Amino acid sequence: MSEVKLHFDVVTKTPTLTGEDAKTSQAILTMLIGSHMKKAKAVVQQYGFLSIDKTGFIVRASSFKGLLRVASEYIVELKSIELGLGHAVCSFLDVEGSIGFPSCALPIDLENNEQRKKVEVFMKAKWINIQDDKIVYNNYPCIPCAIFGAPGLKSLVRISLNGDAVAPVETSQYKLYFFNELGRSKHQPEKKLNPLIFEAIKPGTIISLEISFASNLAKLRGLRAKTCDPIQLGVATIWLAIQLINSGFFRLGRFKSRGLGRIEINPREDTLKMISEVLGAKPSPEAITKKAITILENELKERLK
Amino acid sequence: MAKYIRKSRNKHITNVLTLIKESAKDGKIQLSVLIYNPYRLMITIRKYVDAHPLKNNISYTDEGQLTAWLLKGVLRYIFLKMSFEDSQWRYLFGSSARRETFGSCAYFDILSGEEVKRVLQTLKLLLPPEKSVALEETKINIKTEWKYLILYIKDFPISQSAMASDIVKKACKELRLELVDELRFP
Repeated sequence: MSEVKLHFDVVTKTPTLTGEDAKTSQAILTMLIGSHMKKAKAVVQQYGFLSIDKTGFIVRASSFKGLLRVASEYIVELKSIELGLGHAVCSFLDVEGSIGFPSCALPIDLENNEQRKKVEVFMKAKWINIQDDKIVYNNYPCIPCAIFGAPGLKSLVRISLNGDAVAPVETSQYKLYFFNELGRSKHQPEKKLNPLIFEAIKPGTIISLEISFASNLAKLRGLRAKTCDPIQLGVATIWLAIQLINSGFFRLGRFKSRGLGRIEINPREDTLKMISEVLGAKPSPEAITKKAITILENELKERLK
Repeated sequence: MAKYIRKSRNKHITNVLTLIKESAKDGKIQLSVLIYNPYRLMITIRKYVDAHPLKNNISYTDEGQLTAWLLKGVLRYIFLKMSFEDSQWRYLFGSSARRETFGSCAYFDILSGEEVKRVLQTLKLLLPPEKSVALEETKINIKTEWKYLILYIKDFPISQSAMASDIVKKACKELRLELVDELRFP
């Protein structure tokens, strides 16, 4: 399959707390004591994602990759459970107590005692079989690891923001009062209240997202797909992940539980056409989703039969 | 006394964290979406904010977003009010400033009827056919001019008899919110 490059417009629907200052690479959240921004009184906490410096605020492509990976992991596991095939994603599998973290890695060394223990977990889940000292990979690496990479396994996708690893964005300062502060506000003058002040990407900001798939698959090690072209599986899984993100299940940045970080990832017209061609579906979102589900389900049935 | 509270809080957090981990191990964590009509709640909170000059300082002007922000705090208070024994429930909404840190298991959105219909249409395609038929009925009944509160919950068993979504439902009932529909993934 020739090189596949997909272009999306990411639109922030609510203020989004992600990114950092280009100059300092440092993120700061300020909780004010009293109403004045007196440095001596300010409690500054390092959070890694915010900035009070207005110049050169950037977002990272890796944040979007992480978001797409988490959503992909969920949709793959969801479909597998629905089909009664058990766990299909390594971060949902209990590999020596490391639930929630990817655990696929290549190569597997059977003589290494520590790796042997992990292999037994994968064998129990029928992801791996050992026949005459040879390893047969059924569902290893799992689909998200096959797409987004794992230790010893190069990522099938490259995610960039208009071709770069970072993109500049405009932010706004927001001043919010927690519920208990609003309660106190009945009895206290404003200067005695503690607002939360943060810098966030404004709603309505459009960020250009590019997802490209590796064109030279020969150099990529590991099982990628059993029933279709790996790029087809990758496009199908990422498309389904995007649907979950657009529905609000998965969000970007901090304070997600308070309604922040909701984004929509919209394909451009030519991208929609390209996705439909790659998947062999009609160029409508509904038809693409149906086809993507079929591709993913067939792959899961083959891997975990 | 302060030390006692901290210890007690840590114990609660550890309990909830253990429950979440155990549930994840068994593949019991599901995502569920609860859709409410928050009309009454929004009026209450709007009044609360309007009653004070603080409004001028809130640059977060969108009514829906503001309500979503406040709602998390409201639910925490309701959980605390329900009973001391169950105060650990509030950690369903995450904890960051304690010994053990974990993320919130519930997200909020306040959307217009039209936006809700769009979300339901997307989710419908991802669900198996038997669930998507029921979802279509909900979609038809959504009123475009209304606003809806959507709670996204990573559902897990919080006690032997209750799921995380059960206690959120109880809390929403306290707020007199009318449950429109409930979806479960898977």
